[in-house]
Amino acid sequence: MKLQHVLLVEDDEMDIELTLMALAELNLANKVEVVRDGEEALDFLFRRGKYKDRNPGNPVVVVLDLKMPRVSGLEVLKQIRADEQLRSTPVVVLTSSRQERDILDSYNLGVNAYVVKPVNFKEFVASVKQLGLFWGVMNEPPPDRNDTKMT
Amino acid sequence: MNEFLRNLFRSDFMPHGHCMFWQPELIWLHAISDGLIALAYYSIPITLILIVLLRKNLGYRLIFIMFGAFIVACGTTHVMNVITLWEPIYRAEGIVKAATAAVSVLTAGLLWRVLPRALELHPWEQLHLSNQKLRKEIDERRAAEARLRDANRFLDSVIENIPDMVFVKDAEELRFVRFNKAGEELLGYSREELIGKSDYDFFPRDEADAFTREDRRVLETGELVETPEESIHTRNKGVRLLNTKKIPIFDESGRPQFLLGISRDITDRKRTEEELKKYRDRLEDLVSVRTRELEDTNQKLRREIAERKRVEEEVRRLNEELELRVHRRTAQRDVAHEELENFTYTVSHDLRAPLRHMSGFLDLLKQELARENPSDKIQRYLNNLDDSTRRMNGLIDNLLEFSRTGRVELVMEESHLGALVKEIISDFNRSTAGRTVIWKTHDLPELSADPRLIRLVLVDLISNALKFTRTRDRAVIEIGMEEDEDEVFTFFVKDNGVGFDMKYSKKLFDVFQRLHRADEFEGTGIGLANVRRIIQRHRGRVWAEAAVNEGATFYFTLPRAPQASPKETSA
Repeated sequence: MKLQHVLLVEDDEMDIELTLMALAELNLANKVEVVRDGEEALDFLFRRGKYKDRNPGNPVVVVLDLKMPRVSGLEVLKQIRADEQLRSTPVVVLTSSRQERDILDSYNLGVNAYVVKPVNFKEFVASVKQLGLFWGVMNEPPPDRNDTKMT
Repeated sequence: MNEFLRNLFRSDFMPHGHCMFWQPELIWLHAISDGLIALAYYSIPITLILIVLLRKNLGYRLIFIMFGAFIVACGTTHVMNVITLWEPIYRAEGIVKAATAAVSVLTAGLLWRVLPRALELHPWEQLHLSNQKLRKEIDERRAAEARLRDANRFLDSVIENIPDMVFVKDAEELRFVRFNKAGEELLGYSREELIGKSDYDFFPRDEADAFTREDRRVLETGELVETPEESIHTRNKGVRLLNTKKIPIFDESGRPQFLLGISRDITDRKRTEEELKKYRDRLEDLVSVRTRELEDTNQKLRREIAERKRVEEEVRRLNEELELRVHRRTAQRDVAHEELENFTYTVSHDLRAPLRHMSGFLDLLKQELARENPSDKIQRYLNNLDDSTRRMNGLIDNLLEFSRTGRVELVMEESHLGALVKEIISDFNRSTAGRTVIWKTHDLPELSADPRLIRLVLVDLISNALKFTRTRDRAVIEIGMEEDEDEVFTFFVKDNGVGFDMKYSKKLFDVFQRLHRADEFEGTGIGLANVRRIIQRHRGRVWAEAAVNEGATFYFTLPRAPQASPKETSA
């Protein structure tokens, strides 16, 4: 069975709740896989640790926070872009930081989009919904390499 | 004898005419021809005799006589031929022939003998010829003499005009035989005075001795002798210095006959040389003096240089120390900067997150409560919370902006302040609809500044002016420049707003310092701090003048000259 999930990498519980709430309005909530930091994200993506038995396939989009304990979002992005299988997976940074350095670093590492979380809740919901709609529904993800090899 | 004669003329033979059978024409032909020949022959000797008689000094008389006899004899043989035509006296004829033969032989012999002498010229002829020769010779010699005279005259004039003294002495007694013009002028004696005299007649004894010694040497060795320098006493020019060459002149047998001398007056040259030498010596003296001075100066300079080097070394050492200190400071500052940046990063990220959550859940709470018809009080509380989160968010934004203006590099370019102000006013005009705002703007210059940051300054100041004139019916805002000729431009933004008490003017530009309550005039207390920071980074100054309720004027300066280094420490 092909994985059609959105991978949400977010350490903040409240942000997760608010994000999922926004995505629920698009009926995407049940298709969101949530991991709580960079390390977990890498375990999931590379199917190791507690995710070693998960179904194969890459997420249609990785929604990535930058500031997380242990392994940062930029590190996760770097490893995704360095991996043969994951390289073409779309990655969207969703963060509180408007720092030029963060934006620049993210684009230099090949991020597909950079979205600053609006403080205002209505705007936040609107942003997340647009993001989910575009990357989760409208965008055609790259064909899964493992799949094509097996079929 | 008679008999002999008789026999001689005996006609006992046949006449010769008989042989011609007496044919008269033949006989007469012979007779007349022989007769005519005989007549002609007899006439020739007459002319010869006349010549001999008339030319007294004629040579070769004998030849003439013999020749005459010979011709008479020949004529007689022809007469005999005529006679024998008729009378056969052949004996007589034979005798005549024999006589003729004898005379002929004699004459021929004589002629042969005389021939060499006869070939010679006659004396007067010879005289004439030698005369001619002599005359030619005389002409030639005259021409040669003339040429010689010309050549001599030419040589004379050459010698005469040579600008050096030329003289000739005879080799025997060393008396002058010749002198040229230059010599006369040099010595002061005419050649008439000089010729035939010797050196002793004109010059002091020792001088004359010296000259004579030279002369003798030249004549003995037969070679040229040059005396590079010798003095001579002259009549009018005092003692002169001469350079003299003496050359012997030999006669045909190779013995020295004359002595030729050529002397050049080198007195003036010598004097010039000596003067030059004197100058050179003085120059050398001067140079050596100057050299000594220079050496002294050099030594002083060397000492000074050494001293300077020491000082430089000291300065360098101090500089190095200073640099090290600056380096350390910079490093410290860099660390501080980094910390500040980390701090602002944290603020931007970590302060925003809870704020966002508050905003989010507040919204969700409102939605939940909306169904249960909340009291006005609850509604007000919720709105207050909303305002607070919004204000908190604004604060964070301003704080981040403030931090950013301290960090970004200035990008200096020609900035037109007038245009900037016009742009800002037109932006504000949209948000001040319904208010009466009178703008007064001066002509503002172009200057070198970071237009993005200067724009922030102007926006802050103008928005302040607008804010604090809100209570006025007619807001008057003036943006201008002080008319002074200072090194800096002084700009100001003046309003007729609520103003402030000048005793707080120092606090005005500090971060988070506010002179009004938030419920009077909203604000974060960062705007003016930001203005000060930007102007300071442009090496300018900010200050304000105001009175309560009488408006406020904010001043800032910017340098007129482009700023050399926009890098500086920020507050």
